[in-house]
Amino acid sequence: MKMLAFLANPDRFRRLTGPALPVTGLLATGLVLVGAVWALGFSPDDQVQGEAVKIMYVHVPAAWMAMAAYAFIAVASLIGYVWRHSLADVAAREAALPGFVFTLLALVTGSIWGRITWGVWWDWDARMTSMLALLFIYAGYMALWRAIENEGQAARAAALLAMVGAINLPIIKFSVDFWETLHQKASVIRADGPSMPASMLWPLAIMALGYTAFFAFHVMLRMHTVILEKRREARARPARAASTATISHPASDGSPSGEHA
Amino acid sequence: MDGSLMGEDFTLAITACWVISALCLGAIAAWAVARYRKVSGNDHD
Repeated sequence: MKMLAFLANPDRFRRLTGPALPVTGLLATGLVLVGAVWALGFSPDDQVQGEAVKIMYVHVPAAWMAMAAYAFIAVASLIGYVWRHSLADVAAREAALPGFVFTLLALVTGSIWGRITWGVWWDWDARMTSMLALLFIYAGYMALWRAIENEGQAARAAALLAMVGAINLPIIKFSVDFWETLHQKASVIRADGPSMPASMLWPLAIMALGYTAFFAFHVMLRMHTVILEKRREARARPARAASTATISHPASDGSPSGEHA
Repeated sequence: MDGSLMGEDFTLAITACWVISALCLGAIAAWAVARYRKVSGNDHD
């Protein structure tokens, strides 16, 4: 709680996370490059699907991040809703775009991979349908922020949607266990450990870490941008009020008139 | 899955997946950096 209150100050947040920005940006770039070279150049082909398994190294990290980003939004929304932590609302809002893009990438790369391995671009099985639902929830969340002009009201409405929509996350995760699905069962995050060899697991883990660093970089950068934009707007407001007061009352003492702002 | 796909050429599909991923993530990163540069250029603290 103390940490939350500590980070609620935008200037303090900027000072603390400023140095982390270039670090996470470089980390994301480095990890994704290393992961890509390893996955494409040095990881083995699959016994059954051959080189098509190379798609796994972009599909799986995207799917993981699609869900992780939404979990981040749900937690940030809870913090913003309960403790009225405005920076938490900003964090939630700015995490939506990368989350949406990760979900879209998981669906597109998954569709291409499915065409190769299953012979179909799409199937209405539980995994694919629940991921598609996640994409729509992201779109609805972003639209809700834009639809309500008052930022405080928008934040509360969006937070409610985000928290309710979080029920989709365990549905996605356990869909392949609860229902008979075309999508394969989990081979990494399982109760009895990964069923994947290390030669595949390592590049997959590096790509996942790279995507995570990318998400952190994007959200922090967007939060810094929003804080600076709000500061600029706040500075412009008294100047606008003073200039309109001058136009309305040319012989006045120059004091700003609130009703003209 | 119907039989083994070992030995088959999926270069186009693999390339498409990786390129689409790079372009999408690169695009949102470039947009975020451009917006930050625009606003931080007017704020010198």
